[in-house]
Amino acid sequence: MDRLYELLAQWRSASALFFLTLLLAVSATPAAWAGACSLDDRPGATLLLPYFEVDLDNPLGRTTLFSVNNAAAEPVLVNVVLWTDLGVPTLNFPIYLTGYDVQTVNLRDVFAGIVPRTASATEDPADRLSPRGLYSQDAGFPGCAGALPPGVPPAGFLEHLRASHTGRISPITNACAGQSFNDRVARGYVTMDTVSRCGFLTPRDAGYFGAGGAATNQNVLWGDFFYADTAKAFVDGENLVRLKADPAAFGPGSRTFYGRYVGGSGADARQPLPRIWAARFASFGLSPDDGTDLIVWRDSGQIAQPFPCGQRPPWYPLLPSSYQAFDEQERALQVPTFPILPPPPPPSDQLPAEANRFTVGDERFPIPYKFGWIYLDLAIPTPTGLGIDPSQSWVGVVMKAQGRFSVGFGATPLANGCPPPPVVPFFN
Amino acid sequence: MRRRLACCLTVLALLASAAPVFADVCSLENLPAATLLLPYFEVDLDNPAGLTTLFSINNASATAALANVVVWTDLGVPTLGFTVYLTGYDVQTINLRDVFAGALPRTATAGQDPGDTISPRGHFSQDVNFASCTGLLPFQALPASFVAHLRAAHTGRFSAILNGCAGQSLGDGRARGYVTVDTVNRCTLLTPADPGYFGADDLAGTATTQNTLWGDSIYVDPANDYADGNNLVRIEAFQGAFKPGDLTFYGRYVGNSGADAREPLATTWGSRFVDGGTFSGGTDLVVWRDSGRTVRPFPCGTQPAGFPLRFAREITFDEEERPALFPVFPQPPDLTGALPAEANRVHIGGPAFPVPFSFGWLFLDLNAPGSVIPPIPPSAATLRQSWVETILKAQGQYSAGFSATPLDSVCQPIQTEPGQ
Repeated sequence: MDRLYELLAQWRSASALFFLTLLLAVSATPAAWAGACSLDDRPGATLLLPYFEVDLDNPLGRTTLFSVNNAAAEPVLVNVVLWTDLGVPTLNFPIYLTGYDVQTVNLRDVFAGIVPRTASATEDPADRLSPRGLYSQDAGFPGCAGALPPGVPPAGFLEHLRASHTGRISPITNACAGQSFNDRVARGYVTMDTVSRCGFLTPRDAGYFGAGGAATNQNVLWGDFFYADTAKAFVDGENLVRLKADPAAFGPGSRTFYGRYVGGSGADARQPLPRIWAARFASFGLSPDDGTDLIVWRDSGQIAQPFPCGQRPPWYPLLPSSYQAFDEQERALQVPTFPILPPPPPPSDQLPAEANRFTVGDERFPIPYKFGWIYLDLAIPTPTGLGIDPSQSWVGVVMKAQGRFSVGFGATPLANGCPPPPVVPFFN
Repeated sequence: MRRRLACCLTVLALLASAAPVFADVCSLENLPAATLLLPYFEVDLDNPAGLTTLFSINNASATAALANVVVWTDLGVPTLGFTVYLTGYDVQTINLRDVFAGALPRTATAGQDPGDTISPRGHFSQDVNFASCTGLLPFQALPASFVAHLRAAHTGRFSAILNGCAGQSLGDGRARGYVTVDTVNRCTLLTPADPGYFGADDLAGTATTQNTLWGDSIYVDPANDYADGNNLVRIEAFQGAFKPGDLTFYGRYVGNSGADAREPLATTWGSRFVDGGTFSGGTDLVVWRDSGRTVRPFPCGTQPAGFPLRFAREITFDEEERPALFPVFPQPPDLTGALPAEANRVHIGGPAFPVPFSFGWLFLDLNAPGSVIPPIPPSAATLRQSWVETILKAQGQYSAGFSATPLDSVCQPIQTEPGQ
């Protein structure tokens, strides 16, 4: 343990000139969008679980749990959407929450065909499935007859679900939808939106946002998530990303969270995420499991479709626009040159998907330092034709040591998602 | 004169690079900030392999920065202040066990470290001289008498230096308290509780409004195989954004003049709790509270004025959103005294915070109690800021910590509470 402390105490790190430039560039821009883009943990209209894993072969292996909570006395309907790590939606189901309700979900159950059984007042007049408390309200929602409580998906659909999230061919689409790592670990991400009615729409469907659309702008959702690996006795957790809706703040040309699905119209009214992050890392070297993982969700700017297995979506892989790593002595991985030249292009398999988890220092991110921090600019290098820059991301840090400790928390965004992207001359 | 000029140039250089990174006043964002708050720490002084608290201070700017670290008891008495010098983009990690052993982080500005052996700078960093740090940096080991004071003050025992007590005595040999870290323009022995610490601008006082600090904290309990961590609370400064009468983070020390320019925290929180399943070890809450007063050392065996703290309202919901309220039988206890200090850690479901459910969530209105229940909206006299974190544990295996959910901010206090 002393060694751990000693190593922890040695955590010191470094720097880069582009940060000064970045800060100066940012300081010259007026702070607009007051209040609409705050990256805080107050309740939102959309929750994002940026990455999940479920080991389908090992019931005691990795899984991901999350909760969705209603901060208001009024009931709320939530549309939960599972997406593959390449951004293809595979399943959606409604969760009905009475006022102040909470619903927890183990994604292992979902991949086994068990989705949360909730029901609004119309489908559950006796309050057996979704009882309400003393301070809570209970109501009915259109379109929920037959949709709530959700039934058990047919076996064929479950096979489609598992195949889609493990990079194998789906018996329904006869195509692939996610990365294949040659394991049976389902990967992807989850979004949850407040909606006004039950339905099969997802955020990428016409009619989901806008006047008369399914999605609402109720900033009432909060929740958390956990990665649990019972076999290795690791659990780490973090708040779900809360995205606030503010229809007055966003319009045509605005960057928004679902901007790629609404053609940059701002109709989703959801605040965008940042693209520039700082994250610490540490590898204590005390056991094979030691090290730091980064959880990285990225917006590809694309409306992803299933693709022939063995091929890749045309936009794949996503590249990091730029990154820099520093050790505890502030030595930079990419040292400055004169005249200033752009850094070499990053390897093509770094952070290639929309939902990623990687270990700092592995072959995809070969950083020779044990301690330090990483600067990540997750801009999309290629224009998408949207008319807006859809580059947005979320980064989380998971540190593990001695096979006993695991700590997770959000990385540090260096700006929120609304301002025009700052220019970093060193890399541009 | 030359020294003063050098100081001014340094400060101007600092200010030039201390760009606010697109932030909103009162937003409680996780962006780099002028003040960091470690809302609670514990160090088991009797067991070198026991619980301790580590944290890091990171500089998001290319320009060097001075950070004033102040250690406060759990009742809010400052006991130690020391300066950490950070070259551009530097990181300094601190194990509070080392601090309670008298070992402070050894950093030094260019003037005290011309050979760059103590605080080296990297390819892109700047390194400057703060002349005020000569003779202070790098820190030497604290004298034994001061270490004895520090350990006594944070374990609720008599401090010879303070000539009294300064913290709660829980009789377990654990040092408790909280830590603040502010950007400053000179090495100093002042704390935020001292006059002159905050000025009309970054040159007039000691504290500055450079929103450049970030960091995280980790509670490590090797004996019980627990570690959990979180980001330090980032409190951004907005010069000119607050007027007299506004509650700011350090408002109690500046007569609510707004001079500290630090955004305030929230007052009302939602936190899940779990006791079973994956988390058989239950749930702890870490709660930092603003007592609204400047706390001074007090005679041992007594409590400082205003303590124990109470709060306005608590509601425990189960996962079927049934509140634990009358006519539940037996009637749940009044928990509004369950967080009596400024820095608290409490086990949900334990003797200090009994709840009738194993799973559910807590609604916490941590404003001061008012004459009306529910006290909505809180009056200026009862408005209190706070910070809450949730730690879920599996017995002997693991734990996970994250921030609770703020349901308001001091700038926009909650308007409707459950049952209204």
